[in-house]
Amino acid sequence: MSGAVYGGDEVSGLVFDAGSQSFRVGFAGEEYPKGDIPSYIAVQEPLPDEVIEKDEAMEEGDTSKVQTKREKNFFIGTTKIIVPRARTTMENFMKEGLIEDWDLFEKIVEHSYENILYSNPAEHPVLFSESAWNDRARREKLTELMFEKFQVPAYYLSKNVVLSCFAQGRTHGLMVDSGASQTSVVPVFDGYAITHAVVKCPLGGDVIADQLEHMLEQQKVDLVPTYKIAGKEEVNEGDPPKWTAKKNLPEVTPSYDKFMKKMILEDMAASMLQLCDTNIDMEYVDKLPSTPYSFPNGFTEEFGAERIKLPECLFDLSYLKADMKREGLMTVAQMAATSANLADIDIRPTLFSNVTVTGGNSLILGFTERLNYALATKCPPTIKLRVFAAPTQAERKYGAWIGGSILGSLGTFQQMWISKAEYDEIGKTIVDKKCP
Amino acid sequence: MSSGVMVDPDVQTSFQKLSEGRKEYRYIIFKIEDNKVIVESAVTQDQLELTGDDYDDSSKAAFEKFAADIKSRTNGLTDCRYAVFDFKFTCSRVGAGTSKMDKIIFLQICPDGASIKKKMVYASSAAAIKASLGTGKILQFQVSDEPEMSHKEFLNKLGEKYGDH
Repeated sequence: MSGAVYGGDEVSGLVFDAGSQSFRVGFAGEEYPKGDIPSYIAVQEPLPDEVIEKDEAMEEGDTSKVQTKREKNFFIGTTKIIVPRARTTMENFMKEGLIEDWDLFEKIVEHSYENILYSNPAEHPVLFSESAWNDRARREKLTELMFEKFQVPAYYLSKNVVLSCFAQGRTHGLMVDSGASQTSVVPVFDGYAITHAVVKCPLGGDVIADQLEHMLEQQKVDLVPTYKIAGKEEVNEGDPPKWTAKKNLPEVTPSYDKFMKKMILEDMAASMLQLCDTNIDMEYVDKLPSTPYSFPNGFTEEFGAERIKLPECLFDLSYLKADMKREGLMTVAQMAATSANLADIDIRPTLFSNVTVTGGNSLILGFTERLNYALATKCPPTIKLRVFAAPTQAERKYGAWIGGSILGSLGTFQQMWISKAEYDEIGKTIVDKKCP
Repeated sequence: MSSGVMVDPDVQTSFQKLSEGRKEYRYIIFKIEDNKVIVESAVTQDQLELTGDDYDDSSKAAFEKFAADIKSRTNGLTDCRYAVFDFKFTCSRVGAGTSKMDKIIFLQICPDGASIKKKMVYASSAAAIKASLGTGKILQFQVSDEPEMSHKEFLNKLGEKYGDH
């Protein structure tokens, strides 16, 4: 509707938003990303014998990505990486919100162009998101890669927190982003991320998955990943499962097995975990209705108090499993309060009044309410505390991408892009000037 | 980072009529149209047809008319706007007794009910209009729902900033 008003001159830009869980790609101006590719890539070590490798590749019907001649094979995309393969490890190109493995990153960008966007990189401007603590070397390297390797006509780099903040209609706010590998808090003021006040901790969805796994071990529940299962029969709740194992499985690596188990744990977390609105209260916990969860092998178990005790570790570190290192960890509320207090005193009231929650891990039921409660005890009493979250799940998960999509589609935004000509003239340092 | 949306020269001239000299206008509402920030409506003190004194009721009557105007223009807070309002109020200060104050507030109105596209455009263009008005003269606020748009809320915030409570 408003597209006609603001996006008069369609530039058909592309938007890339990289996270440690997934890489979101799509066309600017669209509502949601075209592709949400896992950031894990299956890397297969070469076999001494070329012929076997070729056969294997043909069987899987995946000829596009396969290179012969004793090179590593790379498999990208949900449907490709879940296939059990020998000598294949799962590798992530992101580490702590930054691009770590540039070769893998290049592969995933290539894959996006070829198999998701079906477009020629040289024809579309590209808008990339970055985390607030991205460093200069990486920014310049990314700029260089996009212009030199992919020959993009224009490019822009934008802070992901600013994009999600703008997408909420705000120019100020305390952005609490609880993702898979970590939770970070970044204050945004007047449309700029206050980088010296960034607080982050490796406490996110992956920790929750670990906790869940630990709990299942204690309850002696055997977590069987889907790839091992050939068939199963229906059994009553709590009865031992009746399932048959798949035969002729290749010898998979531990990292693959772990990845497949994690997929189940993530699904479990999404479907049954919940946070208490206040500090955990045993009476409330006991009254909580239990929810059944069906494992892929047919086993069904009811979970009650665990549903609420597991994610509690986000707000109370004593709920972390015993062998987890606690040094240097902070709860989500502590992080938010610390970050706000690192910012200038004049803007603190504004920040506390505009706490915004994003990230996949924040989708745990009750996260927003609990953060509000926990933060209330940590902020000055005169300040009006408000915690917001985007109304829909997709908006919360893809907030930064959606922001980039709208921005990239604006006709007026064309003047902001770094053009190829500008890059050729000044070089990669232009990114520091044009994209603060 | 900004959207590249331009600001119409009228925006600045109208704002001068609100902030300087005879203070002709009481409030101005701006909107984005055709990739430009333009003046949607500028209302003078006389047009408000108020009988009481603004300092006595701390602009309550004037503000309510302004809020109602915003609400109707945004179709019940489902669209975004920028606005400036000349807020006249009295507050008590230590050592100075009760004093009459005059502050210009700038509102960035991006209601939760507005489309995400509108919110993005208004938020990313806010820097442009604020630069054109001159940030030194205005107090900025962002509004996202109706309670935040109430007279009491603003009076409290201004009181906190300038009063002694």
